[in-house]
Amino acid sequence: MGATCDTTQYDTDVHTISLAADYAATEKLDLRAAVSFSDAKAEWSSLYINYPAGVTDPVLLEMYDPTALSSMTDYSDLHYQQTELSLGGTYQVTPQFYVAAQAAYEIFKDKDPYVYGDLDGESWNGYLGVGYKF
Amino acid sequence: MRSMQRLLAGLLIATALPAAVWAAEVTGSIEAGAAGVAIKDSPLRVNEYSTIRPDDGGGAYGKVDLKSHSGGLAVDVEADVFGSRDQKYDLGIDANRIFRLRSDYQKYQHWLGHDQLNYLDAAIPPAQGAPGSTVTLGPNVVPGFIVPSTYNPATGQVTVGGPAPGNPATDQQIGRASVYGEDLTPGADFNIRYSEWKNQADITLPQLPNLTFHAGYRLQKREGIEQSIGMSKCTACHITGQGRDVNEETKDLSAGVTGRFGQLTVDYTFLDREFREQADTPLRWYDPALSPAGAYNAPGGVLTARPFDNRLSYEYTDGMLAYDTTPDSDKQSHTLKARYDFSRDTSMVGSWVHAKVDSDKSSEPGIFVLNDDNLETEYDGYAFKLATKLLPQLKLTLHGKLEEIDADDVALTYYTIGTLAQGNLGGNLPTNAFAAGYEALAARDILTLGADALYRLTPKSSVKLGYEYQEVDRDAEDYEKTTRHSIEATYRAKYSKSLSTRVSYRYENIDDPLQHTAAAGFINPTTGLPYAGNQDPTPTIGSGSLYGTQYYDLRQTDLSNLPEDIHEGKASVTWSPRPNLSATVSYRIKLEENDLDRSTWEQTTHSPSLSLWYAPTGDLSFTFAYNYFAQATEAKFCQGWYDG
Repeated sequence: MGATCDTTQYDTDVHTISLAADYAATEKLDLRAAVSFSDAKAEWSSLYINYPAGVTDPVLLEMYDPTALSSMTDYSDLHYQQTELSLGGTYQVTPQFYVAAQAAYEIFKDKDPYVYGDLDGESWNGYLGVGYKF
Repeated sequence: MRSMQRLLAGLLIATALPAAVWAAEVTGSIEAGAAGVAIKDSPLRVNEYSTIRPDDGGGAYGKVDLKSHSGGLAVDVEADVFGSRDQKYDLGIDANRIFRLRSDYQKYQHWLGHDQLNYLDAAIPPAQGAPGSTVTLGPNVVPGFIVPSTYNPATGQVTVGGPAPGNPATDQQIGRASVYGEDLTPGADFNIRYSEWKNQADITLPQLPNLTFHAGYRLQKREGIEQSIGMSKCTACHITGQGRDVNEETKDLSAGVTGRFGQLTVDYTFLDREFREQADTPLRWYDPALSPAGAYNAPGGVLTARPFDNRLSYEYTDGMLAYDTTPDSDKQSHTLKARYDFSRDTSMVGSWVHAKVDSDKSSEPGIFVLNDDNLETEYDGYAFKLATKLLPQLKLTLHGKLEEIDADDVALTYYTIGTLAQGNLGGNLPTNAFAAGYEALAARDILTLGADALYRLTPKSSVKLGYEYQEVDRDAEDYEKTTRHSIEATYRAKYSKSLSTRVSYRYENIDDPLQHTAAAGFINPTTGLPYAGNQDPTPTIGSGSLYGTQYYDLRQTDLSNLPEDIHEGKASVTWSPRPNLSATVSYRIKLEENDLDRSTWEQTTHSPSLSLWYAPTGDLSFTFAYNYFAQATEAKFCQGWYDG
């Protein structure tokens, strides 16, 4: 019995970018739009498990595979991309009555599924309504 | 439809308010329409926190925003209702500044992940080879026993041993470990419906203008189903996942008073908090035990008890047992704060907080018994802050805090399985009781002292220097006292109407951060090598090394993910050349490391960001932002074999 140790690395990289716009197109029409994108990665690497010289236990040498053990770092790799788009606006029909609408789209791409399975998904949501100001 | 009913109910409540409110000026808006959500594949990330609906479908929505003023009475009502699980309401009342009420309610659903447990499976195959035969060792060829010193590294062959008449009792037994993950509810959805209702009322009577009385009430609920994971272990680790109901309720009641007496302001608040888990405690079956097993005929014809006796407390015949329990708890706290303004330039703030938390635990008679079913934690905190202007350009701040946390130690008594009453297990082993005590790691005293000096170099630039000392003295004897020294320097400047900058640097040095000493990495005390017992030819079955004293106690590598040295730098520049254009660039870098016994830990973090705002016309504006986060961590990883 014994132990073998190695110095290993875990790296995280996240890029997030977003752009939003507000536009009073006319006296009666206000528009807003937004887009955002995120790319997130995490990676466990540089793990090299080796048994020290001098170990002669036949069961250990035949039963434990250091190469396979070192490759378990792949299980902890994570990578996803998330994109969100939205477009909405308000139209003032009269000084009191207005129409409001918004539509949004989001897509999540799971590029390295593991514990929770494949988390890929898309959603569309929105609303359309009328309002009264007083 | 139910959401529209709630919205209409809110409007009816609003109309029931005093007529004086509605006789006066009322402004606002009412909006209603249709809203919907369509989801493809998994909703766990694209709709993790629902805003319109938690899943596919459509329905009505409504929004109300009303403001009313009449003399000294003002009422604000806001409501956003999207479906039965996504709602937000706000109510504000101000009556002549004598009575003020703020009430908020929010509700939404949170999708939780579902661990599939399908990545754990591993096993050593069944024993092969008759005693006395020769086999070639490999991942799929593993005898139950091997005869010591018969391994041929050139061929990979070994002689199979085993307990049989005539075989010596020195054969090496091969443990047959396995791991099996089983999702008992595949495809099940896990989610929590969250709601919170907060109320805060203030009363300032004209007869007592110096005093403001406060009262508050908060009710938070979490209801739904979470995934609960349990394990049967020893030789075979069988991990199972199933759903468990959640019906948690947290109630806060608070009362207090704020007094203003010229230069002195005093505030006192009492809080009573109650947390209850009202759902049934989840239960699970544990797998049948393999050991202790019946006695066997050892070499020499002696009837011998098998090893691994008295190491299990419970198993299948104990029936369904509670696990993953959420204890109920109660908290009371007193907070007293005072501020005295000596002059326009000098003020002092002091505070005292006393809190007590009681948490209910429960024993499992016959398996384990706690010395006390109620764990108590007490907190006392004393803090002060003194700020003064020594010179027109120089401001000095001193601060300090003393925190005392007392927590109950725990003593448990474990009862091992008595095999007489359990037919699946052999022998006639009595049950034994083992006592174990645990010191509360939370019990500690924390002292923090610091000073900051802010010097104005010019009317548009300043430099700030700060120093802070902290020590954490833990009651648990296995942990050292942690001391921290921190220095910080910040420079701010506004070069022109359009350009300003901020640069700061902080260094922290920590002695003995919280760490797991001797956590891993066995070292043989005789040879200094990281292994021992190369196919020891001498032990008999059941008389091998003792795991506790000969394996675990000989580990020597300290492990921690807390640093001993931190360097942190931040810089930001804001540029606004025109009223319709503004840009901010910032950068943060953090370098952390520790150097413990036989291990080092390092972490480097970079975080640059850019934000832009541009309005080319009065009707059009753009906002742009970019963030990058990069973190690299280096740590020691230790893999033991045979529990090294």
